[in-house]
Amino acid sequence: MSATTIAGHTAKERFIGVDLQDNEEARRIVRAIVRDNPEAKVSQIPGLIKVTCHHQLDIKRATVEQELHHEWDTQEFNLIIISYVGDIQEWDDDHILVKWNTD
Amino acid sequence: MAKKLGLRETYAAMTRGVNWTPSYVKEEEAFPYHQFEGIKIHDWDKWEDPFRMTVDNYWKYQAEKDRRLYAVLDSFSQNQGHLNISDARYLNAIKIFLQGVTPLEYMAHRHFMFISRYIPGPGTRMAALCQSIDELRHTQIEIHSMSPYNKYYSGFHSMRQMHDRVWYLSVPKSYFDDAVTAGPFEFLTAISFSFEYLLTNLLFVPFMSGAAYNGDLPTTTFGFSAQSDESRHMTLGLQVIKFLLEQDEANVPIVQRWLDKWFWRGYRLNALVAAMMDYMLPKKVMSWKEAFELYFEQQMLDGLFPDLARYGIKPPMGVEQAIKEKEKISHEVYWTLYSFGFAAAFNTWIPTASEQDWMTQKYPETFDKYYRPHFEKAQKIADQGGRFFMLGLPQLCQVCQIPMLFTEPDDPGKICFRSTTYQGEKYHFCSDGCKQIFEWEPQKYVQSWLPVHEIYKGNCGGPTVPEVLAWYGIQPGDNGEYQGSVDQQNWANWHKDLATV
Repeated sequence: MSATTIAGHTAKERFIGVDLQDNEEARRIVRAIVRDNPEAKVSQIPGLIKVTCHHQLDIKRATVEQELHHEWDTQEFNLIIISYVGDIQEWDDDHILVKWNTD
Repeated sequence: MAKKLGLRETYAAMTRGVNWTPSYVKEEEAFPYHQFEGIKIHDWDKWEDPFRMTVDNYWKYQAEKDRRLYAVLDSFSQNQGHLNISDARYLNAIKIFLQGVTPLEYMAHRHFMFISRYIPGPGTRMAALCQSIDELRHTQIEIHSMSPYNKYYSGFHSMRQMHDRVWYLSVPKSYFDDAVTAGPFEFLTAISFSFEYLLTNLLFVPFMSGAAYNGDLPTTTFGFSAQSDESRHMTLGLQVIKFLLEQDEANVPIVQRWLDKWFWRGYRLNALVAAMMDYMLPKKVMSWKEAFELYFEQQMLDGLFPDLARYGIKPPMGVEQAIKEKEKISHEVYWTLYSFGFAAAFNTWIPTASEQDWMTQKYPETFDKYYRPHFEKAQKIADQGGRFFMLGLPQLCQVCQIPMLFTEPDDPGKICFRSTTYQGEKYHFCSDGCKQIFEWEPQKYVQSWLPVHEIYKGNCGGPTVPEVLAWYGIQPGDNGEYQGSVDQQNWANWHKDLATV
């Protein structure tokens, strides 16, 4: 589908991403995300950190644990996530993967 | 010691693993509601929930979320936090939230409990059960978070009564009543997908960021706490849609019709949010237009819809009009709320000069040409000691129940009226979208409880404004102009020691 067929709408490049609370835990997790996803773009509005990528966003437990300096269960991500864009393709003990189903 | 089960195995064991096939009653007696809408499901095991939430983890994380929230609420109250918000005007947005949105959370709690009982798939039932409990939690944390303000400010006292009776609150109320009186799959498409996935970011994300920017600690905290559940609800919504579309091709046109209807219903409901965002936040994070472009146009139209196109799903009816309206709706709705502010359970005001300049900057095509002149007129009246009110009752749209305030998509100078005749009666609409929705199900919408009609029918306390306001539960000070209101005077008094002029 070409999104440009919608009158009045200018299509922009597609992205996926997560919106997280702006707190200490999330800031460390964002550092881990950026390490694992070098193309990730981080932006902020009051109270909130937005991390976006163009293709996929992979949140890896091992890297998060290095940044937090303690064990981290991937389901603890539930405590800081505000919203996301994309489709959560995988959420298991080792990682959380967000991407679209089509390129 | 046996190895702990991984997330995937735990989820399978705690959902499908505890499911059973009824033997004392027939399957269709246990689950009587999932077929009449024409949706065909062949294999419930194809349902996947990426969050893989199970009961044990659910309680663990929800308890932690509540602990974090209530610690904040305690310190807010202990430290007189209400004095630190940007301005008392700000709280009027929060009054609308409490009166309009919180009761919807409770309705969502009730109906997701119904879904969790009556849908045959165990994975879907588990997701709906979690969501039902979430929604009850949201109702409670919203009431608890806003109650510290009720001690000091007007308009926070009777949200249940107001929700059922007040004219502008029939907009959210009728929206949700429409959803819970539909079949289970339409409800899931309406609330889980069209609202939670497509549109909820517009309500919760920039608005909660606005709360953070305006120093409203309780709202930011409950908002983000609720949003962490909301991410799971978004996933349920996307799963529902993908599952229905993948199960049978015959489901595609049914889902498309629901999507067309519920995008437009939800978008119209969001018109109130547009006004709250642009006009009621003294410190502004982003305009409605910017939020719409980011959270709807970029994230949904450019992001999600290409994924749905492979199933044959098109962007919903009315999208083009919504895009045109992003320049207009916040102004048109706020002006209406201002004009009928004598009958609202919150205060309204003329935006300050710098706020109007912000509007000019954010809405260069429309604000100065169409909307600033309204406020200039209102200012002239105010300068002479008066207050502009529209003394009369507005005509309401039969479907969204918003007063006829929206203008023609291509002409911001002309009010948009649509009508149709059904069984000899004429019905009125604000838009082509609402008219189309009526024509799909006229038997449903002829039953609309339209607040203005009900006043004229004598069902709302009496024929005079004071009688209707008393019946609404609106107390003196809740309504009308902000300048000189109880809240404004109290606020000035509490901060007078800080005055430098």
